[in-house]
Amino acid sequence: MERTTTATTRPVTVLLERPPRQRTLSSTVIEFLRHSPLNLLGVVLIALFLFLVVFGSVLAPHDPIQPNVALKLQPPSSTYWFGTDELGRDVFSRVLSGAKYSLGIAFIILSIAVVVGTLVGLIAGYVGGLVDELLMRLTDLFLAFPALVLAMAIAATLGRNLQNTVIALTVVYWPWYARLVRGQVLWLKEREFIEAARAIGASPWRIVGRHILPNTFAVIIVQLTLDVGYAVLATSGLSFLGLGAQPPTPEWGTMIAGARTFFRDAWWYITFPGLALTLTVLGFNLLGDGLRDFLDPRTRRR
Amino acid sequence: MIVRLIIRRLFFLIFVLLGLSLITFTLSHVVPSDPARMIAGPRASPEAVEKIRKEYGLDQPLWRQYVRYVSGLVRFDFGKSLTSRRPVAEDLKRYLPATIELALASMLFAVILGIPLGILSAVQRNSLLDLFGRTISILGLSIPSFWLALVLQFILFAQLGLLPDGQRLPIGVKEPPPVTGLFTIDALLAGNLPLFFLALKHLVMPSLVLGLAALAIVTRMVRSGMLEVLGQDYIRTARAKGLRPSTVILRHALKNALLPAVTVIGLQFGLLMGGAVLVEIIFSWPGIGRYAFQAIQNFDYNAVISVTLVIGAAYVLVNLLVDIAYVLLDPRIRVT
Repeated sequence: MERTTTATTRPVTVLLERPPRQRTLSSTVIEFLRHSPLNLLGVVLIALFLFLVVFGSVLAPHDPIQPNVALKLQPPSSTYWFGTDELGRDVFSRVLSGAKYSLGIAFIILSIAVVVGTLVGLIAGYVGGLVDELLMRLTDLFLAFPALVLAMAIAATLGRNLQNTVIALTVVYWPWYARLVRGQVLWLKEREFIEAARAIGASPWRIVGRHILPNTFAVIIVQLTLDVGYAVLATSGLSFLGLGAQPPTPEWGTMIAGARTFFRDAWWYITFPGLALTLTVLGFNLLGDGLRDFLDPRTRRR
Repeated sequence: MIVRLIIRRLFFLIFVLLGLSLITFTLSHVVPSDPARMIAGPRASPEAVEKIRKEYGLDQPLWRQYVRYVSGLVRFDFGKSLTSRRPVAEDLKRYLPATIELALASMLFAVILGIPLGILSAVQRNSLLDLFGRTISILGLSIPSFWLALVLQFILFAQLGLLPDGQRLPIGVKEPPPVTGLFTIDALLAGNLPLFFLALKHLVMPSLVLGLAALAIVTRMVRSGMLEVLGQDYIRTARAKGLRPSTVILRHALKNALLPAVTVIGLQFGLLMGGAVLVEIIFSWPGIGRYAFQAIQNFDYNAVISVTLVIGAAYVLVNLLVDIAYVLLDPRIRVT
């Protein structure tokens, strides 16, 4: 067994040994939701915010960008549910429209990171030898970097906008997936079914593409779920610092930065974007934790 | 074994530092603006800009600048800050203790609260306390630190007036004579109790905000470690022997349960140093995180590279210490 694999690879070992397709997908989902009320809460929160990513701007009752100074810093009311900001914009509409930026960007970042990381991990793990050594030292290098500082440096160097936030955070996240996938590949490579595939003359491409890659999905999905929360926090953190989304974009971190000077007189201005941010991250953390527990029979028994 | 481990890791440290410096160096030279022009100011004559370019070595080829930079690093010479015009090493010496004090206080907060909470959470599984412990361990990772910082400032400073909203000490209060650079410790060493409490009061809110995520992780690790250990046969044996529950938990279970937590605590310290940026900015905490942020704003690349290097080095060093602690705590590892 490879000693360097992280704890997160363990549950999947067990998961894979369970005979596949014994249960239908929907019964597994129901079992998962019943397993803990927190799983259900996580799924509900994620569903809500995913819905807002797609429909948030359409549902917003007011224009999230157009200022209306006559209405500035109004407390929450029946027309302006979350009150208004210093330019008279509806905070509720801005929070709804913001999901697209804060959560949407996190998805883009992680999608790229997963693809790059998986590719590097597959190559390193399958080819092995010097290639493995070189690629892994490279990932170590990136992992030794303080993530936020690196992202800050990249974002500031390339210019302050969301596109560069994506680049900065992708650079920060891909090594984790490379390492994770490599560990899985090393473990899978020695299994009988891979040996069998090799014995009947399957090409390396086929072995990696058809047999190894699909078996890394479970571990990637768990990690991905847990990482969405971090990516959302990092994206909004950079925007809060002025290195990501720029005003008047209704990104949640940018909104909180804007609220900084006013919130002592207008509690609603800072409260709602922060709550949206917290609940989004909470949803993904709950789901990630739940998935990990659910897929690991050791904790399941308890 | 342990000596070999240390030597290997020290080699890795050198490799990492070289790599880090190369990455940051490359990054800072992609900057579209001209650093020499930045230092000279917008109204400086072209001759003055050229003079500065020469003075700071900015006219030489890139690889030369890098070699010069690295050979300086070996002598702890980080070059000159382009904005403060002081040697960066001097700036770091000034700002680093503040960050270390903040990170240590956050760590202390996370460990002192997290370990007992994790133990109690595991021992009294599914109790109200366990629910509290688990809530902390999930919420702590979900609340954005910059938002929490502002909310706490609003409640504890603006509304209740309990705690100051930033700085290490009120403006005008004399700093304690520097020994460690940590104001709380230095005040104690000077025997100045009121100053100690004043510094402590300033430290509470930032370290609470910074330490919350670490608290969440420590609580979770200790809890799951305890749960795993408590289910094992030797614990049942110890219980069957009629040992008191407190003895079983503290003497038999805790040591084994803490092992995974040690690793995580070490990793957290590195993360805290990095995560300090946001907290330092909001609480006007004069540490290297805020220094780095200001440096980034000013395209002061010497300073940016240095801070990144220092934090990266601290991260790798702490990990080395953790590995050593791990070997010392778990004799089984020494064999393999």
